[in-house]
Amino acid sequence: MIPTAHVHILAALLFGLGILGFLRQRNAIMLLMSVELMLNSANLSFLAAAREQGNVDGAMMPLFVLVVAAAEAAVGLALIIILFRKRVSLDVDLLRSLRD
Amino acid sequence: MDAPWIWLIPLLPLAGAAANGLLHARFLGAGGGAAPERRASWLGVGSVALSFGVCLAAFLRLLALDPEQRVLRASLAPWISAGQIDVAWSLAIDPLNAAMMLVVTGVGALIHLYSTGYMHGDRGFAKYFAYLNLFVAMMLMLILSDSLVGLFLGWEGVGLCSYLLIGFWYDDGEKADAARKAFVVNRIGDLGFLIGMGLLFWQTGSFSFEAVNDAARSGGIPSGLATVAGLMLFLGCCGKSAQIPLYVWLPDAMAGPTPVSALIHAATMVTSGIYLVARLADFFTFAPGVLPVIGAVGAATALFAATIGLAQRDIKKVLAYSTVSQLGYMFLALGVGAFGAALYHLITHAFFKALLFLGAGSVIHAMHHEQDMFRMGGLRDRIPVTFRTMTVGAFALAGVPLFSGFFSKDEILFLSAASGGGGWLLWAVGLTGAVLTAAYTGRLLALTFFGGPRYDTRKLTPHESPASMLTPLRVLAFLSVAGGLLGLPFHLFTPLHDWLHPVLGGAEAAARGEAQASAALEAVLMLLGGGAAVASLYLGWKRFVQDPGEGLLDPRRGALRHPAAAWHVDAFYTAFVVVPLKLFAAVCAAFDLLVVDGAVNFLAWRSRESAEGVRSLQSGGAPEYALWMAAGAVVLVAGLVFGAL
Amino acid sequence: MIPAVLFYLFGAGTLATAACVVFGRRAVESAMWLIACFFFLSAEFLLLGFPFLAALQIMVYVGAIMVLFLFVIMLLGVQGVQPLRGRTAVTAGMVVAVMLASLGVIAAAGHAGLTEQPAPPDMDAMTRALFTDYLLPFELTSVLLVAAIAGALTLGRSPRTPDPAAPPEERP
Repeated sequence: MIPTAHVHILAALLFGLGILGFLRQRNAIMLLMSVELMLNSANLSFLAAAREQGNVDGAMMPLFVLVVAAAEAAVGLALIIILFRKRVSLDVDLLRSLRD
Repeated sequence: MDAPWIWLIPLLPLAGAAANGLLHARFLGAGGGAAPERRASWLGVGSVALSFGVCLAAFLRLLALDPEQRVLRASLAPWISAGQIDVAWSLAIDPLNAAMMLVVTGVGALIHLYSTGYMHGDRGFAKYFAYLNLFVAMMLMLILSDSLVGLFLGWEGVGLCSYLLIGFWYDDGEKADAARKAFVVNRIGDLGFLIGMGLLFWQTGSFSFEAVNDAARSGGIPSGLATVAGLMLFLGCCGKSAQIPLYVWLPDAMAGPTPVSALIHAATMVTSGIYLVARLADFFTFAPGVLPVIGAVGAATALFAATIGLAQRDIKKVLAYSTVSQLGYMFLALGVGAFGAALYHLITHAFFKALLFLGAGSVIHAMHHEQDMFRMGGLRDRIPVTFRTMTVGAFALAGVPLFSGFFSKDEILFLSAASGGGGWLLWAVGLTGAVLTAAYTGRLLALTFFGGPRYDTRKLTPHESPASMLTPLRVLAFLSVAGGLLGLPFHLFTPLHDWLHPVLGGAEAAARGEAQASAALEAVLMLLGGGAAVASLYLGWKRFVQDPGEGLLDPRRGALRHPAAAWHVDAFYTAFVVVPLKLFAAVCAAFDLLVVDGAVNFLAWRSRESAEGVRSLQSGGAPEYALWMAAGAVVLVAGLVFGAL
Repeated sequence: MIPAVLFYLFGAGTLATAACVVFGRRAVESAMWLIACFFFLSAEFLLLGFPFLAALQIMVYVGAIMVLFLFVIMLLGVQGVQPLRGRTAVTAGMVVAVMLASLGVIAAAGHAGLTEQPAPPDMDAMTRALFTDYLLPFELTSVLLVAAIAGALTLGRSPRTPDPAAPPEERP
């Protein structure tokens, strides 16, 4: 018997790790991977809730998250390729064009 | 009876419109040319012709049913469902709109075919067909919808297409202005329509025609309110169907391509007001005091517009005022409770007026876009087919016996004379209008086709139009004669009335009461009307074939100077409506600029001043932004957690 | 009893591999750890009673998305060791992340289960829902994916080669 609260705690820790990675890393690919971690922690929480309430709605969400993650990875990686072509580096700290 | 396939009727032209719209981009890219034109023609004409085929199938299906149960329904999906309002995408075909849809798609297909010749070589060829197809789709939506909301969708849709097509050559400022005028004047009517629709919904709790008619029959609508709602709806009809006081847009609408004038501004769209009144025949019958107003407005418009038509120099303007006048006859018929006669005249008018407009288009085509009749003359040998077919249309319009217009107009006049009360007055006004109609028709024929050429024969040699334009003319000429068979007098042979009887019979009986008249009276009136029309036609022809009479229109001394200036109604509207509104708009604009914009600009200026301080936060690096976002999330979640715990 | 033990075991594995992703220095290694992490997560899904999603997790995440990541990493031949941010930025990031995670833990720990015996919805109910109530969103995901493919194609196209599909320059 797995308590729902513990699943949520696992999800929260996983999300924290994802945030940490996102803030700590400078490599654009690593940032995307951290985002994948956060998305998965959200999936975990959805499933925990769906399991507790015996409700299909929660179980549907991970499906859509999966699709969004796939689309995000495709577009994000394409952007990274462009970035690399233009700057020959993946270091996001070197990008300062969002000013003004 | 359920028949989902009737949705094909509006959807086919809609698909044609979409395809032609997409083709337009390619068309511009390719710089026009014969091949894309052929594709656009096939799409445009084909989609409407197919739709006509489906209409025929629906008609045959109805014919096979028992007369009292002749209705085909098709519900596609829910549309608006909120609170009490429940409107679906649903169509219902009964005998009334079956007749309308056959006219719209039949005449529409002919005019599409004609357009392939008329618009040949135009840059916007595909765009033109996209608009025209969209128009047919919207018109069918208007006709076939089973509720006021669906009808309103079509009503606005055809208005939009009318605007787009009047201003089709929008780089000409005058034509763009005419389009705007049509749109704005129609808005006034549409406001009335919306108010009427809202009142009916308030009282009956439904938008469906059946519910409104049933409620009216069973006295479910308070009489005062019914009168107001009826008058408001009629205001909408005045806008769309160009009746006094909102007729002013229709003559200007002639700025569009001539086939458009034929289809939209003569045969179909402008008759939607008549359709609406006939559709809600029970309601209008039981709304006290509305039908007499409709009849009076119709009769007045019929006479008034006919006088103006007598004094125009532009061939299309003559036909435009003639259309206003003929629509007046239809409203006159509705006003005396002769709904079937109104529909009869609507159908014959669609045939012969489309024919006349298309003929005028052929004349204009031959004259290289000259529309001034004083610059024409003697064209009957140059363009013989156009001349012959147009003469048939003119005879039908003038009401020469045995042509279709004669039977339908005669029926309207007879039924108004026999309607009791002020019926004789309406008859007299109508007859005067009919005499004038015949006169200006004679003048039109004389100025265009007879006498000597008044154009420079060295520069211009009029040539007959291509077959794609002449075929519709021939077909419509045939229909303008044969259309009379839809309702012969003395109850000899009345297929149209029998067909419409299940829908309109009840309202007609209730509206006309005991008013019956003898066959002898009918015969006398018919002889009188027919004789007057023929005599007037001949006199009009005779007067103008000898002398074009350009001096009559002289703005200072001419005998017809007032009708030539359309009785100065436009000037009156300009002085008393447009100018005050413009002044008011100027005041509003000044207020907006000084007070409203001033306040907003002040706020913006203050914000910028105070924003200078936090500007350093915007470093331009995405990771810093992410850090701030995460910090914000911490605050938010903390609030949620500790607030909730 | 055994599922519960396995749950904590795999949970620890998930967190450990995720930490390796986050603290990794090379993109290839991190990607590998992420794959491991997804396997652990998939096992968790299975234990929670969602075998279908567990399978999807492997197929889509590991089979498609992570392969794509690895392709890009290999394609770009990314530099050996990752530089990290400056010390203050990393510290601030850690503080924020730890705070967020602990808040999540507090919230989850305070959450009392609503039902005594959790019962995950069965496969039948899920598929039924997917093709009835969720039909429109489900169909829309295909649009999203097509848009993503088109976007990736457009973005990834080499700028040097001329575009054969582009319309001719001159227009009337």
